Amino acid sequence: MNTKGTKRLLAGLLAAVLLLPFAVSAAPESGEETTPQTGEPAREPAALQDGYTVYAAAGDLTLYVNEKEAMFAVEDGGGRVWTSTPPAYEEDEIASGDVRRRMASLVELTYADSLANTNTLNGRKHCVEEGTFTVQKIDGGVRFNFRFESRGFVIPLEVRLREDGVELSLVTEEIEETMENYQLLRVSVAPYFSAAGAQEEGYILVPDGSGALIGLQGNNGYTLDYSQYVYGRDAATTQLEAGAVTENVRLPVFGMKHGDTGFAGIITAGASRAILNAAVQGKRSSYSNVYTEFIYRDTDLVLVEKKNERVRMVESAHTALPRQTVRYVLLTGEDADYVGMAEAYREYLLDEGGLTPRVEAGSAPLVVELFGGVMTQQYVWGFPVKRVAPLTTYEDAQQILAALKDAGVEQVLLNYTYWNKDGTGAALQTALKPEGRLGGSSGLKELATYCREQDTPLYLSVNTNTMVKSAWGYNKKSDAASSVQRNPAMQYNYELNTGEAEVSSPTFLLTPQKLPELAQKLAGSADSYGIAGLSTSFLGNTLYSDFGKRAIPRDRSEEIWKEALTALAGATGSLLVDGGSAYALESASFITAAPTDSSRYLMETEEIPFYQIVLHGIVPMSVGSLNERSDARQGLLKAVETGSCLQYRWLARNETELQETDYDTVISARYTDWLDTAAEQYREAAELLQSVADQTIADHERLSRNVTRTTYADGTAVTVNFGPEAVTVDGVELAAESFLVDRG
Amino acid sequence: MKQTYRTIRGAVCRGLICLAGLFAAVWPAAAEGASRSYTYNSRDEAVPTASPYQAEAVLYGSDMGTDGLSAPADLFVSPAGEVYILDSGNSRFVVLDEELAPARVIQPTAEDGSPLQFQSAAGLSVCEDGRILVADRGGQAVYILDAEGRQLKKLERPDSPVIPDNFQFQPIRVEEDSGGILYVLSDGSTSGALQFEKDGSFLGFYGSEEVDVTLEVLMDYFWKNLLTDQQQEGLSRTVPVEFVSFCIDEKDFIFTIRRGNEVESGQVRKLNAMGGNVLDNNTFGDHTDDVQLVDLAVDGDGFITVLDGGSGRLFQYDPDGGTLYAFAGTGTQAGTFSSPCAVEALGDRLLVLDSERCSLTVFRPTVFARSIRQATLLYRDGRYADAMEPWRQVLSLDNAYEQANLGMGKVYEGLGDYQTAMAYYVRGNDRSLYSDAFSEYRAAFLRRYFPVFIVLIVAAVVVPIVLTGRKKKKAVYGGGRPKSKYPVYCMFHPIEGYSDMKSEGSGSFWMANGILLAFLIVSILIRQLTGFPFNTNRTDQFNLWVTVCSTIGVFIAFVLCNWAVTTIMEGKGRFLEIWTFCAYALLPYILLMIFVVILSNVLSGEEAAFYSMAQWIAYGWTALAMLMAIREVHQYSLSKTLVTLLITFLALMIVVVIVAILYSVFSQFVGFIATLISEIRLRT
Repeated sequence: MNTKGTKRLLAGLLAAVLLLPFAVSAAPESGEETTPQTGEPAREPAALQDGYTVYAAAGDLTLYVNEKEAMFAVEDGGGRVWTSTPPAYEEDEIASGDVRRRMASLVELTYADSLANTNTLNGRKHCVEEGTFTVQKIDGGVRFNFRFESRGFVIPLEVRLREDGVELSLVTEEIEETMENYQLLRVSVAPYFSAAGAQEEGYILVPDGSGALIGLQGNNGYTLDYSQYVYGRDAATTQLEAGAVTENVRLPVFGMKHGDTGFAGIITAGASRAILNAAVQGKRSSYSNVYTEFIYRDTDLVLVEKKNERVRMVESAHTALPRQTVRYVLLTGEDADYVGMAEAYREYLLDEGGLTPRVEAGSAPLVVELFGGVMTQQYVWGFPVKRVAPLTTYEDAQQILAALKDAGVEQVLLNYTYWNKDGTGAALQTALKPEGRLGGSSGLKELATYCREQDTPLYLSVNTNTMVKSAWGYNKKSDAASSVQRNPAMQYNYELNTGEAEVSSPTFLLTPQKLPELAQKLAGSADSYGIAGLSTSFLGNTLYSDFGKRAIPRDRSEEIWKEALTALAGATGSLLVDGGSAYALESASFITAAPTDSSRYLMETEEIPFYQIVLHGIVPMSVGSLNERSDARQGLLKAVETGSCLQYRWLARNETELQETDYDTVISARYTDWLDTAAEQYREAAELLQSVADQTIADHERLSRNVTRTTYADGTAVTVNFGPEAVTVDGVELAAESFLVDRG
Repeated sequence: MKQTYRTIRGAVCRGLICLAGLFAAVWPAAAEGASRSYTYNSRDEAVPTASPYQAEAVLYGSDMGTDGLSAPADLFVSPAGEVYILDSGNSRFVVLDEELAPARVIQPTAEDGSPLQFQSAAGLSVCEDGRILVADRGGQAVYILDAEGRQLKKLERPDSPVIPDNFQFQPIRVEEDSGGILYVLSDGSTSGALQFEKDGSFLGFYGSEEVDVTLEVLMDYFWKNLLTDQQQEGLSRTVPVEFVSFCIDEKDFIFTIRRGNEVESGQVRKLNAMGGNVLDNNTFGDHTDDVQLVDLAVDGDGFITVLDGGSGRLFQYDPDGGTLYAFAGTGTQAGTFSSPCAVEALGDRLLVLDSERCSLTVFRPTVFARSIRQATLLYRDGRYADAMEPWRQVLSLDNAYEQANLGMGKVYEGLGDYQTAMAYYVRGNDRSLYSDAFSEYRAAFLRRYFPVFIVLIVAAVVVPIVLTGRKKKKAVYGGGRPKSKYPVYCMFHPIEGYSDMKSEGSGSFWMANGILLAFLIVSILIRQLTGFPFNTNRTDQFNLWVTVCSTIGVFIAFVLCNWAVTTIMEGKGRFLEIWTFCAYALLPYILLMIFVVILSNVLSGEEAAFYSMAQWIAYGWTALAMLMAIREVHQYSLSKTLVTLLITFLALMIVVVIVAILYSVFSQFVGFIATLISEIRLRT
């Protein structure tokens, strides 16, 4: 606690005691009852600087509100304080006046004018300094009403104290827009909540892929800000150039640790319409911060072909949720680290997120994803035909399973993709229809029977969203999700060298409106082959709006996705979900290709398996296919570090048919090349993975650049050396690229 | 790394604290790429490959033991293995050791001991003896400093009659070869690099590229005299060649990059002591019109890495200049750049300097790149059998990788298994390598079956003599031949044959159609069965309709046009007659091309002359037959035949154009209707 900031706080406390009478009497203009009913007079001296009054108390925590400045602070029993604005923000030498105002703002909004130019306004400048805000005491907290008179916006924000922290709700349904020319786009909530000072040690946690830390002192002179859309880009927006290869935000959680305090920020409502932002001290201000920016209306840069220029267009609908909420769980001492943050989020998921543990003790199968058939242009006796080139027939699948069994792989889970009629060229599926060239109905039945005999769960992947062609009732254009231009939103492939979209062959996405009906139909036919369940490679990875006439914002889509996932899972009681974004966790019985990497943005300083720390021991997971990583050995170590099942993506024949198709990135999937490696890796890791399958991760730490240690609830500790050289850890030598299990 | 790591448990600063002094960013070695890697296949398409390199670390000034870099401009790995960074904005050198840990910072000093300030230093290299060479573009000088940074010599614009008066001395790169000769590249110079003797005296220019005086150059010269400057910018580059960077390898070969942002072959050259290019004339960088190569590095094994400053991509080539792969790019993730300016090889790692971000990115090869390297080197050392395993490994990581298929082919060829080698060359789609293996295979085959061939040849000579000797019949002239003899007779006696056919009316329409069918079949055979070295068709994409249109379709159009033209030019031929005569004239083509197809399967690429000779005989014979057929059918003189033929071809072209226009109008109409329908649907 010997930091400058806290010294200032102590000084502030003294001042507060002296000024308290004034502060209390300075009633805000709301005219509402604002005198705090503390009931605990002993707490009063703990009030912060001048102007802070006690508004609520819960457990150890007390909520203070500065009614004049529209700020708040939370103090715990031990004197630790989390403020919405850095107390000494006015003395920041780096920050300009505008940035200082941002620091003092609880809300900052971005709006568009009639020409779709965007601009930002902050609460400090436009409401507090203008006196156009109200403070109102509500049950368990406070409600601020910010009136941005110049642009006609009214933004209500509620702050409620909880026993474990504080919850900030943007009351979306009560947002007002009174001027026709100005449309509200986004609202940042408490951008400098618990910001860390220039000298403080610690990090920001961002849920980039598996999770990443941004070291507070890792400023390299060249530091970009972090900004990521939760659950990835909206696929209904336009993208004419190939984007960077990044990991998506899977979990709507972020956090910060500085000194011995920290917090986990959990977006509990409106995550699918939220952007996470973070910045490190030294560039715009002396503070490092991480916060949520809620989207009210989305925008898109669209290409106007007539003018050949990019124009920003604004979504016609706005967020449908009544509120968008971020909860800060306050952490101290040993809990104030990323494992503590993960625990906080896990607790939230189990208590309120509808998540129930579904792991089976001792189960850690090798996940085999098979590629059935690819639709190609073929020439039969000189006659061009579009037909399926079989890559893995139903019989091949059986053979692969048998070969795995022979190689000593006992637990296998089979995820069969493009097994269906027309393979990759299929329209949306409303029923399970096998492909004749892969073995037909009888072949599939045989495979399903074989799998049941062998106790290998067989999952059939279904396409619920991507329309490469129209099907009965699902026209690829009129039933497609629309872009803000009201055209069907087109999905492209991109040229590798120029990055340009291949605009001649777009595919389309089914409007969210029709998804539940499709999922119901599919679920109805799911048990016809006696399979373990369905699998989806799309729903857990991609979430999109319909910006057209149907006007379905992404928060509505999220609900629809949940509904569809529940329907798909309901068919057999089991559902395989690829990727596993947070909204899919409730229905997923197994998550394949759970993220194990971050995007490695330059401002990030460390990659951590946050995703697995949250979910291991609750939901079974596998890593991304090891044969498609740059290094299968490193992939195995990742699986061991995170306790995830191994996964391979294979095909049995005709791999050259994939060239010149949209699936030409599948270049390393011949199962004959990988069977031995897979069996070897399974033998090496299975015992460990099975033994900890039902254990949550109690701790994770990085012992050195290339060495990590994961400790499970039962005390099992796994030390992994990713490096190319042997190391000695706690007196035990650990060979290069290997791991060590200590049963505690 | 015999070091014991103590477990640091607790809240102080988990994770990060024990890394202090290492790198700012911690990526375990497993880092996956932030961009898609690709290669160019033999059809010049960019196709995905496995990831060859992964960013291992991104180093900033704070990781190099300094307060930060300012506009770093160049990078050099010294012969001793140390990494020198030219911190141009701070006029100093930052040195890292082989493990990339900070070693020292060198502040250059002038001869009198005062600090040396560079104007805008652009190039750096370090000699065997530790001397540091700096090219200061703005200062118009090259500095030679000792290992501690003390100035030994300063080279300025040499005073020499060889140097044109308007020559600006703006050094951007400098390097010394093993003989102590200094090479200085001056920005904007079109005469190559300046060579300096050890003592600093000017030797002359080296490595300039002559502009070939082609028609294009002359035309450009013509236009440039007429056009404004602005208009001239649109013209292609024919100005003498400028260079952007160069480097010298251990064997004193000099690698140069030519300036220019359009794809062209030979942009990177490997020059020997005479200034001659010894590298295959490959295309370097992206095959797009937005190329901006800025630097290159050649590692100890001879692999060449080229950096594109615009796209941020790295391209690697094998020691012969064969394309391996492209990776990296611009972006905000580890392994991507903002403004990369220099690349160097450190062992098997690659270092890339970003002048805007002031960072050094370290790339480590993946299994894919390591295996390619291993296989290439083993093959080079003649260890063919050993090279097989790494190539297999490469193919398991990228089934479609042509280089690996070619590599496997070379290995099998080296081991004497030509048939397998040929199969791999087909997969790698390389006709010349295939041809080489094929000639070996053929030679072996011939040796093995030599007696059989002798017998066959003798038989081929003797049997016809015996047969014809027995059955020899004098050809019958002057009519009375059965109809069925005419096609062959016309082939060998075009003048009399067609003339008789016209006068007797003995052409058979049905036989003509039979010949047309044979024509179609032979065309298909040519497309599908011509030997690999001579066949550029995609045999897996045989479309019967296309073949029918390009043979029978063209025939019909030709006959139609000819009929139309000759009707108004007093031609005596009726439509069916023309049809029949022209079909008969195709017979030489049909018969000879069967022979050509067979020939293409026994000849290798080196004997292409025989193949094309046979082809030309077929074409010539057919053309002659066609000419005679048309002359006779219309009873024209030779000159009139030629004129009508010319008009026929013109008409044919018009027909083709009209068909194309109709087709495009029709498809536009269809498109219009489709848009209309979807508009109506969307609006209602």
